[in-house]
This record gives sequence, C-alpha cells and structure tokens, in this order.
Amino acid sequence: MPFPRELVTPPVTKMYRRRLLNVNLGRFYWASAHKKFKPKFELFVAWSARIERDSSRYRIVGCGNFLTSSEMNSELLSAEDIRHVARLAALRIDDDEVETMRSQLSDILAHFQTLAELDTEGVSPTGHTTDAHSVMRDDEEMEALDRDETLANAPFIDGEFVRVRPVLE
Amino acid sequence: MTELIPKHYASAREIRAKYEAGDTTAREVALSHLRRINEVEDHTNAFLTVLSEESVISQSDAADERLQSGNASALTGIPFLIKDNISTTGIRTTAASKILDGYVPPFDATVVSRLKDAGAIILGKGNLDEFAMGSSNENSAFGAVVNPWGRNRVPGGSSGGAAAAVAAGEATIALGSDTGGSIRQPASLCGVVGFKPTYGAVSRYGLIAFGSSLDQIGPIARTVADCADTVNTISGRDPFDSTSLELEYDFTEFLDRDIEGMRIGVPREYLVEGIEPGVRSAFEASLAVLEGLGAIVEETSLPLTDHALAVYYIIAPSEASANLSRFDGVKYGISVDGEPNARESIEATRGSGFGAEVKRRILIGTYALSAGYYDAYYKKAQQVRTLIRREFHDAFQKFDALATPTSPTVAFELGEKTQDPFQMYLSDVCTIPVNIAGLPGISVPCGLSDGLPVGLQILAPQLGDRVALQLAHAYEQSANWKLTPPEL
Repeated sequence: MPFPRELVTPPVTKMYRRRLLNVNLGRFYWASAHKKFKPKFELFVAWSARIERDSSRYRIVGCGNFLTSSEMNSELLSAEDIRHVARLAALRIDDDEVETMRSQLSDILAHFQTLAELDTEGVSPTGHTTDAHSVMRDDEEMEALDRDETLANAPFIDGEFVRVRPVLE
Repeated sequence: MTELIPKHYASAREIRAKYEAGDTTAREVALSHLRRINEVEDHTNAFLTVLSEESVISQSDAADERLQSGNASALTGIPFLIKDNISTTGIRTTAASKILDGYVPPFDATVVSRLKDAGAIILGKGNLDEFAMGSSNENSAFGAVVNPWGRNRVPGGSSGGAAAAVAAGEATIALGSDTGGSIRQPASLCGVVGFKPTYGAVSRYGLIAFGSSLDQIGPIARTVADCADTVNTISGRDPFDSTSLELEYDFTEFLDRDIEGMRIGVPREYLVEGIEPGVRSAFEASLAVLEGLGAIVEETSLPLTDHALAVYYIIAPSEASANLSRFDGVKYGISVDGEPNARESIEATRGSGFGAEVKRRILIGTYALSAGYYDAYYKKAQQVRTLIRREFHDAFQKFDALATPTSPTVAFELGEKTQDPFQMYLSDVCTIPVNIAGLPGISVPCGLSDGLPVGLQILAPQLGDRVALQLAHAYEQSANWKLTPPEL
C-alpha cells in the first residue's frame, strides 16, 4: 500500500529511508529523519508517526520524535556497554561477538524508542495477567525429589555434595 | 493389520472411533507412527529423542488394556510428541541447547503426568528453537527442522518440531509452548491447528521457563476438537504453579454450537503492509466462510498493535535473562572445567553453552533491567502492556472474538532471515499481542498460497477459550480443508 509522500517531510537520504523502512516493515508506521550538522558529529532528529487509513484518506493519529546519533540504529550501544552487560549477565563473549552484538542490539533498541510516543503517565504496570498475587501454601511436609537422581545431573559431585570452583580466593 | 485411512493423518477422534469399534489397537497405531518416524525423520528432523520400541510397546499395551477395560479417556492410546522444553522423567530434556546436554529430569511436568494418567502414548521429544527463542526453528543446537510442505522451508518456531511432526504424520498430537506465538505460528506454517489457552489455564510446572508472565503450554493437532480434548486433560489448577487457574469448564462444550449472530472484529492493524497477497486473500476468503455461517464480521482498529512487538521484545528477554541465570554449570548440563574460580567457570560455561540468539536476548534483557534503564525500558513496556490489555478489553465489549491472519507470510526459506534478528522478530507480529494480554488464541488452516499453508487466527477474551475453539471448529468443519503435505 503506497504511503502519501506529502506526509513525509523533510527529505531523507536513500540509505536512510531503506534502513527505516526495514525497521518499520509491516506496520502503519512511518519514520523519517533529518540531519542537523554539528561540528564533529551528526545528529539526527527522527520523527515517527502512526498513520491510519480512514476510508480513502490518511490521517496521523500519533507522533513523536527522538534524538539519536548519526548512525541512528547502529550507535546506541558501545562495545564497552556490551562488555558491561555481558559481565552483569555472567556471559563470556569474545571480541568478534562483541561487535556483532553491539550492532544487532543497537538496531533492536532503536525500535524500542517508539514506545516513547505513548503517554503512560499514571498507568500502572502489568507484571502478569492473572489476578493472583502472593500465593501461599500450608507449611506441610511434601515428598521431595530423590537425592541421587537429582545429583546425577550435576557435572561435578563429591559424595552428597555438588562441587564448584573456589568462590573466594 | 487394519490401516488407518488416510494412513498417518487420522485425527485423535478418528483413532478413538476405531478403538471403540475394535478396528485397531493402540499397539498398532503406536508402531505405525514409529515406522512413519523412521521413514520421514531424515527429512523433517522434528524429533530430538525418539523413545525405544520397547517403551512405546509397553505404553501402548497399557493403553490397550485400559481401552478394553472400559475406563479409557479421550486421549488413551493417542500418540504424542512433547516439545523438548517440557520435563519428562528419565527422558533427556535439552530445550535444544548445548548447555543442557545430558540433562535427565528427575520429575515430570504437570502436563506430562496428566497425559500419562490419561493413557496417552509418548513417542518422543520435539525439536525447537533453543529455549523456545525463535520463529523458524533454526536456532536449535541440534539442527533446523524442515517444513514437510517444502524441503527448503522453515516450519516456523519455536515449536517447529511439534508442528512439523503433526503435519508429517509422525505424531497425532504434540504439546508445544507459546510465549509470543510459538504454538500458533508454526501450526500456521505447517498447515495444522495450534491452540494457546488463556494464560494460567495450563500449569507451567516443569516447562523450562522463558518468559514466565507470557509462557503457556498448549496443543498442536490436526483438528480443533483434538486440541479441545487435549486441553481438557492438561488444564486446571496445579499446586506447583501459583498462576494456574481453577477452571470449571469443559473446553469442548461450545464446539458444536451455532455461530450465527456472533460478532467478529477484524483489526485492520493486523493486515500489515508486509502481509503477502496470498495470505491476505486466503484470510479474506475465510472471513467470507464465517459470514456464510451467520457470523457478523466487522472491521475494527487496535492502534496499539504497532507497539506490541517492542513491548514483547523488552518484557520477554527481561524475564528470560532472569530465568536463564539458573544455567550455571553447577547443578546440571555442561560445565567448562579448568577455570580459576567459580565466577570464571560460570561465565565460560554460559559463553560456550548458549547459542547466539539466546545470548542476544539475555543481553537485551539484562540491559533493559539494569540501573538507569529500568524505567525507560522495562517499566515503560509494562505500562504499555496495561494499555494493550485495556484496548483488547474494550474491543471485546463490542465483539465476541477477533480474527486475524496468524502470520503475515507463508513458510519462508531456510536461512532467509537468520542474518537479521529484527526481521525474524517481525514474523511474530500477529501472534505477540495475545501473550501480552494473556488471551487465548488459535490458529486453524485456511488454505494454501503458492502451495504453502496459511493460518486463520481467532482471539477471544481471557477465559473465552471455548469461544475461540467454537469459531475455529465451525470454520474448520465448513471449509473442510484437511490439508496433507506432498509425500516426502
């Protein structure tokens, strides 16, 4: 379905348009960006709007904008960010992986910025969708798993204990 | 021996009718499925573990005894595949991850013990995307599943093995899990029925957790009625899952009710720009069938649909990053030895045990939950989740159910989307909102586009499972597709 070009201002570079279209493929959603030249780096103001079709007419029903750096999708995270997060997650990743993750995660995070369009002032968060909370059971003895069967899965055991590398040195 | 007609594509209810008429035995049915698995598994790679003939015979003989004694249930003697992220006592359970290599659960998931109590026959464990993260089954550490409808096509994911096995006649019913569409999208791409019940309807105890507020176990089968029978068996309150619900209804109750006068909304946001023309036309034709049955079909709008993907890909990885912290190489699975201390050992084990997509999601989730970003990402996503639930709630004031395509495309080619994670995420654009709101959703085959199956998705309000099943059943009976893939 063709989008009305007149709604899309200002002009965007070809490379840029492709990139944004990629991100927004499959939704009534259009984003554009314009360049503001700064001395040492480029800054984009990207704006996005949700466009709805109302019989034969199009109308903008929501829009917002956000600032982002010149490469927009690919610069949201630095290599240092990735290493920091990997450390928090106790996940060893090698240098090649750091660069791949940096660029892919930046792309993905760029898409999340669209949530900023929505006004959520005073809206309570949903943790899960049933009404249950703080479910307690009676403190009664229950049958437990068999110790030998359970320990059989541990990579290193010592008698009835699980063995691990030193925690304190 | 009496052959099943059509040979491997009988539904559970058809098999049951043969049992009741004394035309076949559970042993015959189970062994014919084992032969079918031997024939086609080289093509599909749907199973990660196939149980021994000995085990299958002992299960089916017990079922035969029960069938003869007259206390059989709807699923007695029905051959099942269980997705390999669902725990099975004594049968290795991998979640298709290297990190769980060699893990043999000492307990059954509640759904598995309920199937066993019902006399169902377990044939083996189904391939999936690692930890159920993916939309094409290409993230399995044990190789991709191939769609029986096309040698170079993905089966969808993450329950790709479950859907492919049912489509190829390797199992009559499969249990899958659905966090963002992992039952419905592969069912759609493989031309079978996939049902995700209301969140809480089925116990998650023993399901290897991915996104705990989104995960739900459900069936993939050849017919809507088989899905309803399965959920009747596996659903209900379980003391081991505090979010499981006390359900007092029979899921088959509305199946044969007339749908005349029922109001069905078609949210225009689901007919997205990326939708394939063949999918759109099959979907529109299915709406005409529903109208022909007397349903009132009207266009509607759910503007927040556009934001569901972002909400999902913040919440699901955040929950996953917490859930997957238990894989540390200490209690089960692999462990990298030779590191100087516990911390390094855990980092090395996780670094070599997890695949790329799992690492990506752990990193996204950890980032979204980390100091300074929590409010902007996780809390914001949870607030928008509330707005999406409200939007569905309002829509269901006007409509009994909503109808959408299950997937914007038919099965895509292997390797087509593996280089661009975001393109892969878009495969779930039509299925994700259901999980965010905890609703029931079902995908039922609605024809072919270029020789590949298309799915119609029906969504109902929370606890409206019977309405979703009713509409899907009415459509299925009227359209009467009975799709079977070309011979492998």
